[in-house]
Amino acid sequence: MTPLERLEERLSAYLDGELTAAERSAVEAELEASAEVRETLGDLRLVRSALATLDDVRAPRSFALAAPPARVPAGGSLVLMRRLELFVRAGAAGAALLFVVAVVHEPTSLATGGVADDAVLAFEATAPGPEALRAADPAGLSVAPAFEPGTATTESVQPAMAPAPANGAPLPAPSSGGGAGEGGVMGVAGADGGLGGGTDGTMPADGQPKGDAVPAGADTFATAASPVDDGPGTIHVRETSHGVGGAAPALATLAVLLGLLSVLLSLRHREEHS
Amino acid sequence: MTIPRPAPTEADAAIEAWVQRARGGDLTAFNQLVLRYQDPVYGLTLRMLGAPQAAEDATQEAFIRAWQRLETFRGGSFKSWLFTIAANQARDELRRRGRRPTTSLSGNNDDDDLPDIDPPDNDATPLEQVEQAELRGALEAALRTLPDDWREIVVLSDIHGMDYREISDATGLALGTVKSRLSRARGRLREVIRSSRELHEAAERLGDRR
Repeated sequence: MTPLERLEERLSAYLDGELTAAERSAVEAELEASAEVRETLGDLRLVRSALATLDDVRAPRSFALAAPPARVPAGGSLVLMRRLELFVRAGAAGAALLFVVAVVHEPTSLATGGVADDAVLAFEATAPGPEALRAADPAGLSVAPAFEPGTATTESVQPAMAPAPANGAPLPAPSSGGGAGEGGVMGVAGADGGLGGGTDGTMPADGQPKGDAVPAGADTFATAASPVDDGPGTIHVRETSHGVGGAAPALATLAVLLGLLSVLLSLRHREEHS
Repeated sequence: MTIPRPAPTEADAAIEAWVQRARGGDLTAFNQLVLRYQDPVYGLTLRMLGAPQAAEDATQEAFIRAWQRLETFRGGSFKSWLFTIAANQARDELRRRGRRPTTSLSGNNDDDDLPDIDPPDNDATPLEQVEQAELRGALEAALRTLPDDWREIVVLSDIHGMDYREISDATGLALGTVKSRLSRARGRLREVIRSSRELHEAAERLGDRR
């Protein structure tokens, strides 16, 4: 700090009445002795008074609230609620991914690879931000060998058509209807809250879309539904009883349930801010 | 040493009553507070963020949070409490942008970013008004060149009248940091004042020679 900066700091605090009695006396002695110090004080006083005239900014519109947003319960559990939502979304996305891997697994099939890649793409786009979600990705893929042919029988009836979803509509957003926007906001909002830390601002800005993320719930429904869709480009699942084959429906059910829970949380959140 | 706080006024009593009613769930009372403070809150976020749309968003979000967290208001200055929320909101936005302080004095500002400010209305002569308007313009421009964390402090202090303790509470900074940043910011703005004054003195000398 230069001598001038030190002088300005003393004089600035003097102007604000933020000095102790002893410090104030010392500054007054300096003022008495030096014209330069007096000039500096005069300048700082002018800055302060000129800035005080800049308080006349007018709000461009009314910010009155149309409806009361939900209050934060004691203990700040709104943040915990966001974390829960994030967890549910991660679970839904992971379950959906595992389901897809279990259903379409066929290592030598180009078609299967295409669908699996698509699922991963959709998954990544679905759950932006949190590393926890990304971490689930390789974990999901690493499960694949457990579903080797023979342990579960799945079959792509129309393998040639399978890549279609990847080229056509990689993200299942359109099928998710009105819930997509809200879910997307929530997904981002949750991540935001988790990273915000340190200030009052750990809560995300709700109700303001910040990205084009697709909600895990929508993804879950779309991917879970595709194996039973008879349309072209989809995959038919033929279940043959035993082994890990039973895991696919269970995963689908889990994914759907978690997806539903996720959507319910989103709706509840939307009500809070409507 | 701090300046003693002024005694509560009728306006303070009205604000306190609105706060109490709002705490009880009365949105109309809360909206009275919104209308009372939306200009300074918007002014604060505008100066911190430099962009009208971002300032609107931050202002709206600040009032939503204020409603949600009224239970955490423990009395004292409602304005300071509200400004704390608004400043946090604006700071989070700055952090999201990853925007770093603009320390250059060259400035790089679009006209769109200029606050919509009425000229001063006082008894000054036309020449003085021109000088004041020029000074205001120069100060506004200089404010925008300050580092974000200096600008926040000087805006809270000199434009919105918060004392060191209130600023410390609002920003989470130590009193010493508030004091030094405020001084550095004022020092930088002082250069602007000096330049402006030297410009006018030069103009006057030129006028005298004619």
